[in-house]
Amino acid sequence: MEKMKKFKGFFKSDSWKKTLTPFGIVSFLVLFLYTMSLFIPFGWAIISSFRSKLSFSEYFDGAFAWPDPWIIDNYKDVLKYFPITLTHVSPQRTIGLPEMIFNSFAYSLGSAFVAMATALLVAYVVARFDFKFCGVIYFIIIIQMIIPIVGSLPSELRMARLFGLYDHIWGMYIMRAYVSGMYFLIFYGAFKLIPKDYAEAAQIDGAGNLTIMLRIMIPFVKGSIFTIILLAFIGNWNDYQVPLMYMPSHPTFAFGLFVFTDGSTHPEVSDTPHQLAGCITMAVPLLVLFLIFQKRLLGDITVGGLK
Amino acid sequence: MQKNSVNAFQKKRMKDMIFCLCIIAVPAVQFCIFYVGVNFNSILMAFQKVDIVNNRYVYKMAGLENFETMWFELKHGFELPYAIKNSFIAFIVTVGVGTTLALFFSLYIFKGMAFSKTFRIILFAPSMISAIVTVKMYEGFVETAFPAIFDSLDGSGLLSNLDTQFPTLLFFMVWVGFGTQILMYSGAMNSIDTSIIEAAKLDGANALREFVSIILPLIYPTITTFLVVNLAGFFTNQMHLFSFYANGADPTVSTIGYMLFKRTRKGGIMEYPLLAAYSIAFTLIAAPVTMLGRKFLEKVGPKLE
Amino acid sequence: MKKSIKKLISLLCVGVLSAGAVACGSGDPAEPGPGPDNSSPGASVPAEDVDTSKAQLYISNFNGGVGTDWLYAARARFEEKYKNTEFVEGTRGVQIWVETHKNAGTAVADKMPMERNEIYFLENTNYYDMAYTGKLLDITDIVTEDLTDFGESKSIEDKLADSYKNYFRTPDQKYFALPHYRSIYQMTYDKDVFDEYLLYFDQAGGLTKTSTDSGRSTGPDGKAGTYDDGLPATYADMWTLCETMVARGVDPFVWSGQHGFYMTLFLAALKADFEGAEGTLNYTFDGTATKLVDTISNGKVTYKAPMTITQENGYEMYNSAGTYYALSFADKIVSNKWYANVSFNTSQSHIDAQNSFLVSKYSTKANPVGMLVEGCWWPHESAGNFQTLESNFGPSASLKNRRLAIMPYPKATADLVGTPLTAVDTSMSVACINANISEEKKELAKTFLQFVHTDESLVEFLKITNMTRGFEYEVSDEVYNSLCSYAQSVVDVIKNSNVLQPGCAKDVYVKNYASLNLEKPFETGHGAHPHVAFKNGKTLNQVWSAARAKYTKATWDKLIKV
Repeated sequence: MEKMKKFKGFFKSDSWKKTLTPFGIVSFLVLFLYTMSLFIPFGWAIISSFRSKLSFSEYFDGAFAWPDPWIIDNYKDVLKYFPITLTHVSPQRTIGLPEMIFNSFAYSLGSAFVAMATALLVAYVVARFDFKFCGVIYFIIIIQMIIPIVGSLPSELRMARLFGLYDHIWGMYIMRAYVSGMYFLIFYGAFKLIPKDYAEAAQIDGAGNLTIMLRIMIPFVKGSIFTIILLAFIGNWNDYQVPLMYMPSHPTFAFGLFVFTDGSTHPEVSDTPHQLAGCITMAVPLLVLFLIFQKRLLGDITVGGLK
Repeated sequence: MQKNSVNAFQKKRMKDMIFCLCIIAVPAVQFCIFYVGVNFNSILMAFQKVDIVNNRYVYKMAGLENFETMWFELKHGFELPYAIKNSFIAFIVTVGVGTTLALFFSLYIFKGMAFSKTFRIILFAPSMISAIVTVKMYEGFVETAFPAIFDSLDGSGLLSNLDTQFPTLLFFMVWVGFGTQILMYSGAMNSIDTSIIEAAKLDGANALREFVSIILPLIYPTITTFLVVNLAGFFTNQMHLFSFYANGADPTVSTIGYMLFKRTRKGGIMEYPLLAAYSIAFTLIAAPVTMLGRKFLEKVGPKLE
Repeated sequence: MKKSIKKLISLLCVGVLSAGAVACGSGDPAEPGPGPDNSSPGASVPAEDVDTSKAQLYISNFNGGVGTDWLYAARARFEEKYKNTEFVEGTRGVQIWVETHKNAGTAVADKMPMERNEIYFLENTNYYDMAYTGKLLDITDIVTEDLTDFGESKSIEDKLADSYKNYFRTPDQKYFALPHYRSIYQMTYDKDVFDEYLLYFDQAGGLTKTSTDSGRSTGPDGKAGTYDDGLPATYADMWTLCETMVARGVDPFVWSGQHGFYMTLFLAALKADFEGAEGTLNYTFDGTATKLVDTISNGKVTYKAPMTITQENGYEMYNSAGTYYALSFADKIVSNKWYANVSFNTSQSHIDAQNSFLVSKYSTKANPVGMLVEGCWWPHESAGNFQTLESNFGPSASLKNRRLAIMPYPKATADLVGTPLTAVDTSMSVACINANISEEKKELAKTFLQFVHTDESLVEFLKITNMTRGFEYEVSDEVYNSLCSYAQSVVDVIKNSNVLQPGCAKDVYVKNYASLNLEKPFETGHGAHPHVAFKNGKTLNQVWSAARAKYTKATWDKLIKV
């Protein structure tokens, strides 16, 4: 009874009232279907990850069956096979999950910050000043965004090596200090929207360029800063190719997953249930972190707009 | 008096210039070394060819030969026409379907309708997870579940059937691609001054009018940014093909980005000059289109009433 | 409700997480993980410290289907043999480090100049890209000198098959690498299934025999009393076999749905078998072609008059009847649905396909599978599958005890029965030395490379991997008898085959490497692979017409680099 009341009360809530418009109902249904389309494969993956390889085979129970028994060992195996042994150093060294996670954070966060800061500063200059070279920089950034470069890996490696950046996480920070087109455009748009009067008023008060930038202008785009760090962080977190090529001694979590899912590296765990268990092990911590911090991350962010 | 103010202006201009240069210096040096320095040869290669002399590759100037070959392939190859067509479709679907849906979803969230916070998390979730994971789950599902449910598929999944593979890939691209857009649009919407909307409501504006006349113009710069990024990425979009098929995607589902990536991986150094020519040619097309596209979008955008 | 959904999600996640944590907690912390090689089942090498009193040798090994066990075995023997030798001044003995990885092609070549590795065993490489950009050390001296230091009278070059010589020896007679392992796409069949369902041919053309019966047909080699007795001699026999299999409740084939190119490379192998020695014209463009199609009516091929092939008319090779027959093979299998369903499931990896083949005979709900289309390295790659099978069905399910064997290619036409089998090596694998090796280490690296090319090492490689390398060497009866059924059939087939390395040192090949690979004749624009095209309703005629029209005089002149 009590529950029933609550239930009814729920539908009378403000958010439901708002939803009861044609737009709201259609959108709700689409979003609901979308949610299902995510949950069903994910649920299927979770359930399948507890099944035995033999049972999963189409020659036995097939892909759609309940685990019987539940094979927790699949996850044990993930933890057993996930560590990576560095075979290019002597003595050889095994990197466990904690170190991989640490590397992932160090690489992802640091690079994300550097990429954000570079885009922020350059966008500020290009958006706020009218020197000729500002237009040139804008043009170069767009071009660099478009051009697909072919076969530059050898010279890139050579350069990284020449400057002592190769195989260091901090080296990646320097390599990442280039202006990413998308981040640049977001900041550029944000800075362009800030009325000139703010800066001019401050100037009359005797504030220098640096003060204006740090104290007045950058706080306006605080929201974008968080968003871009988040986007860059996720991109780096899931990236295995750069760590593979440039920092072989610091394998990251994504790199570990890449090795794990490569069928012939670990034939013992190449079957679908094990692979799904590996994928879930990889995805869940990030999702949990995301759930915990989602308010902060998705909270009051502003992109290309003005509060 | 006038002289003084000119002097003061010049002084300030000088100061500004120094400030700008100081800020730009580090990224500029980085750019010169790690972009220009690294890629210079790759670009030069478009005008070269590789020959063999005394067990060594040597680069020789080849004028526009690579561009001629490229033009020839465009007319006679079978993958390139598909790749161009598919890149267009991918772009249009991303913008037409992806962006439209993302806008509506963002509006739904912005309006605080039922479960809006939950939906926001869910829409962003696929972006959090590595493509390795989403591809594996999606592939496992459409290839294993669908044939099990629909007998008409004759045992083969949606990705192995030539009629269904491209739509399936397009669906995946949109399906996992909401995160960034939702983040950007709902953020921009949140930053709208609520008093404007309240005022419009008092004036009797309905929801549609409110969206078209107030919300859309205010978040338009954000949409433009996203469109420009997509336009610029026209020739590099791989539509996740490599994650699904590695080097072995069907030529009929190929995109330009995928084709270039695959040929670079498979072909070896002898192929680089031709592929570099492709890069240059594509950039020559995409750069003005992107620039004009941006100008155009800025011009035609909805105006706040 | 909102809250409860969120709670549900978090609970779900926490549940999974804690499952992971439980697994972690209950695991023995002292357990040494998957071992330093990080991959090869069974080979667990304890962590080792650097012994500076020994010369250090660094080796890089592509850790694919062939694995690394063979290299550990060679390492142990080498370290033992040279434990008192001074290769580098001030040292005694050798300590070898093996880096295992999965980098192929340019990913590994690009990094070679900055790696410490001195010796490389790689696959999927572009040998000439590596050699001609100065990444490989000239090893002509150790290839051409007799292996007398190892008690042998021949040189490595003497053991090298001609086809490999033509590929690895530069026009000025230099070697920068040697072939590593032979990878050949084949059909593996399950003798138990063939016995149970009486799938061996008798001499009257009926399927009535088991593998031990007398009176079996003579097979593709046309000789009685050989390894292939009772197996299909021609494509026509193969169709009879498949029809009979289906009638008796056996699925004839399975292959990987994910890696469609496996099937395409198998078709390339059938093409090579049909073309025989003439197949070299596909990249040398120097000789006479006799098997070019003029017309085809009702499956009957009429050949063009013998034609001299040069670089100028190389496009004529796309008319090869070999391509047509191979396509017809795929068409027949696919349009008759002579395969297990999973063969067209793109989430079905090669290892899954291997598993289907191995596990099917234990299934109570689906048909057993008779044949697997795969690269010859697959049993080693399937170690995990065998492990699972053994723990579920006992020791008879192990690789050692399973009665698996390679089925020699049936001949496209009856007149070819009795001609030797031609196989084509698809791995593009190399064994080589890094050009950036220090002067003082050269002798050590070269000695090791010679060491792994002694007869003893080559035989050991066969014993561990069930695979052969591109050299001629004797396999004694004693060794042969110690091999598992599958490995024995590898030896049988190789002994009766010519294996072609599909390339040569001529500039036309090196410059057009990307256009002249084995898959090219089968890239028709109809689907990614011919079998996929047939599955989607394309006809043999459509696909073949596209294949033969791949190049015209005009497109050839424009697209082939000179």
